[in-house]
Amino acid sequence: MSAANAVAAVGIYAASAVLVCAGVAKHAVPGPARRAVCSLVPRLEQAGAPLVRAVATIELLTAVGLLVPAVRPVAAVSMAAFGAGFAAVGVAGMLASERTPCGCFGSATGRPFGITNIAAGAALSVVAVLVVVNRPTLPAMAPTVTAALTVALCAWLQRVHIATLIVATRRAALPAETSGVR
Amino acid sequence: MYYLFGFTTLLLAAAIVALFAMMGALKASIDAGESGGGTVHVLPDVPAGHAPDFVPESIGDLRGADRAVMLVLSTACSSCAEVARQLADEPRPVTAHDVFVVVSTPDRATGDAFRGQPGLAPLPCFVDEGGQWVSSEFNVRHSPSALVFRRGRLVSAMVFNDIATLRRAMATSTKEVAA
Repeated sequence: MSAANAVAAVGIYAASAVLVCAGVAKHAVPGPARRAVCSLVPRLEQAGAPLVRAVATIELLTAVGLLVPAVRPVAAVSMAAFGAGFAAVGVAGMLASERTPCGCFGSATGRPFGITNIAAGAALSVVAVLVVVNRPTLPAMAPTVTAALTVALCAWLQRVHIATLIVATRRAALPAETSGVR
Repeated sequence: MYYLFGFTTLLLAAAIVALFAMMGALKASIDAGESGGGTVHVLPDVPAGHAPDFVPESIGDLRGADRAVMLVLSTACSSCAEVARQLADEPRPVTAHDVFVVVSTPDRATGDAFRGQPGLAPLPCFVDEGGQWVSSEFNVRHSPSALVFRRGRLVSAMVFNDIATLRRAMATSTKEVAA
């Protein structure tokens, strides 16, 4: 496998993991993303949560498509479109000095549309070009690797909640005398 | 076989993502209520027990409703715009109560534009120019506020800034009344 193919393969794993996290989270909790988009384009208020869920569905289809050789070029084009879209909302958010959290991963807190979206969009577009140009061959374990990366990315995104859970579990395990409860 | 195993693990990973996303949303909702992000203050100077002499036709069902809550939103306050957005996510914000909306506005056109938002459009709504009706009938000059009615008579009024907090406050007061 050439270096370009290896980079494209790693890019596919990473991009699929990002798209799975973003798509699933927006499906489960569309509110924050809806508010962020509507803060930029108030006209989209009418479309609301169904619009966010529709985009999330396409994100998921793209993520899965990247792992299936037969539809990978189509998924790459879709990924390039997402990359351009992410970068566009990032630029729009910066120009509008918008403060509403982007809700990209379902969170109601966090950064607004801005430089992170531009960087993510650019990265997705680069990977899409590499996929189309190099047509990399992925091993059969590609979905498993993507699943592992997805869990790792989720753990990073939810690190505050996970830490809170760990602390709460440890406190609950303490003997009553130690925790001051009698 | 590898592919089947791989996509199964990917499905499990997606389930984990969904679980944590919902947990995060739940925690954010609880934090907003506990940290004062959502607050409710009872308005003391309202005429409790008062049945309005005049009720606008668009919210006329207020008279006959067993339990009702009237949300007073001003076109000039940012919290009111946020409440309207929250109503889009929660079309039935206060269970067991009929919901009515009064939009307080300096001019008719602004009020009509405000009431056209997706969260307000399905609800019975009255555009109150200058806030005349709501201030003269109920002595309410704050927004967003919620006026609670029982069989057409005002029970209480409160200022709030978050639908979830209002719902909790009303659930508590309903239990207290029932007890």
